[in-house]
Amino acid sequence: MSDIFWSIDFPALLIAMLAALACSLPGSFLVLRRESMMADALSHVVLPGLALAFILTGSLGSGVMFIGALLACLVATLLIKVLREYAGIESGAAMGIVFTSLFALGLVLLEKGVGSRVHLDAHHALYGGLELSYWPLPHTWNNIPHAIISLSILNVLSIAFIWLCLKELTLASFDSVYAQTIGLRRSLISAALMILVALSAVACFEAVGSVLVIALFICPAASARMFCDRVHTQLILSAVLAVFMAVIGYVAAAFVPALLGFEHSLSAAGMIALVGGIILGTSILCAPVYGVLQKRK
Amino acid sequence: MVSIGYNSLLVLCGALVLGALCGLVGSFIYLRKNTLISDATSHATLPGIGIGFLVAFALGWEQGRHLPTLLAGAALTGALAAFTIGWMQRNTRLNNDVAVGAVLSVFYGAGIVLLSIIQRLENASQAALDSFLLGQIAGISIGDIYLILILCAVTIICTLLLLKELTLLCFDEEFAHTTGMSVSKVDIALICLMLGVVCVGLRMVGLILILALLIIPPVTARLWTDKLSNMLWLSSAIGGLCALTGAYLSASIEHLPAGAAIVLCAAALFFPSALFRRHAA
Amino acid sequence: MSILPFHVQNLSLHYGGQSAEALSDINWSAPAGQLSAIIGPNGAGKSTLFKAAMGLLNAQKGQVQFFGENLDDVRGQVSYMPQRTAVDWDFPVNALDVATMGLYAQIGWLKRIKRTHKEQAMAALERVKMADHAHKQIGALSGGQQQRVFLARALAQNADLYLMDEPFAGIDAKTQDLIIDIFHALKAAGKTVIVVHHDLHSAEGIFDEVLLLNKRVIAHGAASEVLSETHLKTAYSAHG
Repeated sequence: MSDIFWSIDFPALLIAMLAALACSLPGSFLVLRRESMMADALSHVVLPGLALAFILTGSLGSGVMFIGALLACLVATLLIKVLREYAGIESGAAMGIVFTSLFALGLVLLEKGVGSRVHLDAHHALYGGLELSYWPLPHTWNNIPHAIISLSILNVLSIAFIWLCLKELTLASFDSVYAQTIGLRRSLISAALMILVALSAVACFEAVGSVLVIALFICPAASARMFCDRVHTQLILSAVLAVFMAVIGYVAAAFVPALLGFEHSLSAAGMIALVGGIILGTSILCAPVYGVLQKRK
Repeated sequence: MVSIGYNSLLVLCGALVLGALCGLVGSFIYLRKNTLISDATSHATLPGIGIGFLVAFALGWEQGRHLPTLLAGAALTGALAAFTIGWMQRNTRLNNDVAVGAVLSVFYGAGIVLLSIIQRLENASQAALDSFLLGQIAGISIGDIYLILILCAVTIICTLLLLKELTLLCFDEEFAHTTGMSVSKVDIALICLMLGVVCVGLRMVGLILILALLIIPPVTARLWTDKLSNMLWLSSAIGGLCALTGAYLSASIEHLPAGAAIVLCAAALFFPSALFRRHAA
Repeated sequence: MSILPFHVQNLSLHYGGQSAEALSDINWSAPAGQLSAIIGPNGAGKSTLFKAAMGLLNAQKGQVQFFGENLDDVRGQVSYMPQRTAVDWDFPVNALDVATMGLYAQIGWLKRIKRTHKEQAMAALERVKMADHAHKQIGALSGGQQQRVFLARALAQNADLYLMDEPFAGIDAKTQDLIIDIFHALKAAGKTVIVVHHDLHSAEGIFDEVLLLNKRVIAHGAASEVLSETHLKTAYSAHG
């Protein structure tokens, strides 16, 4: 393997896999709870969070950015909840209003408040920046891309959370009325899940961009839905499919064009989403019991 | 008094009509609780824009930036996305939100892949494609404005022709069914109208934020009135006003994305309304 | 048992935004160790009473006590079976998983499910004759079978008081007989059962006590007395 592979493709591949895993775990619960569009809303809201964090602190440090984005996600979740419950606005519309307004605010802040002084722009949100990851040789812990570290921590956190709360998450998602009657605080579970989704959206934003984060949240989980009838198999299969989708997507974008004789690679984030779509489409058609072709027989 | 040139006047006029159109069609979309489909459809126009660009580029039209071809491509993939969502809902165990989210992100991903191909083309004015993501008022050509105005006029006429059916559909689906009206056909017509609005709005508002112009004016109008006819004209008025103000601001302030300016105007009307009129809903 | 398992005091409730009361000054206690039915026309507030008691709705006035305590202190002793609900029937859980949910509070939050818990849940499924279908996905069962699984979940909880909202709605005759048998078994074991019921004719044969409800208490007492012509007329006439 060449140096280019180890310094550019290897970290990008690692980030893609970690991001996919981090999104697929809460993604299964979003899909099961019919809240998939929260992924859409939260991933868009990361942008104004980043812009505000920079304007308020003047720092581009990853810690500051992370907290800013996370706070923006929480504010958006609360706003959506308020619009839904106190203003009686239908949930899809409430989400649409909140995330488009905040995204627009983020764009204006970026253009007018941040300006071209620093490298922070809407490009990331729209296209993703997987190709920009770089881990100079020789690899050491000191020059490792911070996304690899933060995504690894996030994965440990979300696996631990789901391992601990699997039974609570399952009950609250399946039958929230009953959950409440046996004393499970469903608002607590929902809040914890939303924080996990927000964390994943923020951590993956840089790698794949806001729109494509949605593909990582939804496509593997939805594909697994076509096969699985138990929550734990659903979680495992969607994690496996997510990592598979990241690897195939990255390879298809980075290496296949060269093999076909083209000079340049394609957008890795876009290709990962596209591969996710192909996996989902295949699952929908060919799944053994719930697949469309099987049902037609 | 600042004098406004003929071109700028036309652009503002286009924004006004587009905003009003969004408010009108958006009202029905909101009442049918179909807002998220418009989100997916608008994102799904991106691969169509890419395909349109490649076709126009291959044919040597304006280095690829040929608005009619781009919009035709956008309409094509937008329609495909809307159809896919409907098909997934009918034929699989996946819920509506999953279908919408998956279609939205996968189509958008395909679009991004196409854009990364286009970026490598020589002599292509691919930079102009960025304006379809976030909308741009500056640099819009007179021919484009005429096209936008004509498409707006066609969509408005179609909406007005279907006004009775759409009203009935939103008011009482079951009754509509008993009158012999085909509910599914009117629903499809509504999706087509929405698609038309999205395509018309791509150039000025951009595909990420056109959703806002479809939702915020109707929801704001709904907070102030219970009557459908009032809601329709109020929503159109709000949409037109926001688009006009936003376009004007974007044209006069440098680096202010048009879509964002328009959406922020709408949000500035919506949030106070929600605060003061929350019992109305 | 001297302590009242289910005691409603001056309970009044109206839904947000509506001025009319859904429940008006309800006072009633279910007799301990007996089978009670709550009967009334549609919209009489039968399910609302249960939901208010279980803390799913907030009552404006009054309270419900369980065994002389607040619900939070005796949750383990109270088992509630909601109306055939709007759960997602495609959800990836099987019958055994659902029955095990009845044990969750007992297992403890954040603790893992052990084999003994699965065995207890299996025993509950056996009581409702669903052990053969334990590993089927919940949506693959028929309506009556689903209802039996939810009954098993309530039984697994091994409570002293059972609140069941319309357990007979939309089920087959076989399941209905089975549920009635379970009721008698529960009564024999000294448990208290309260059921929201809609069928006047079968009520007298099954239940000991009846609460006739139409937003307010119309009558309560032994089934044969309450289900008299005059009471029923009051309950089902248009005034409500």
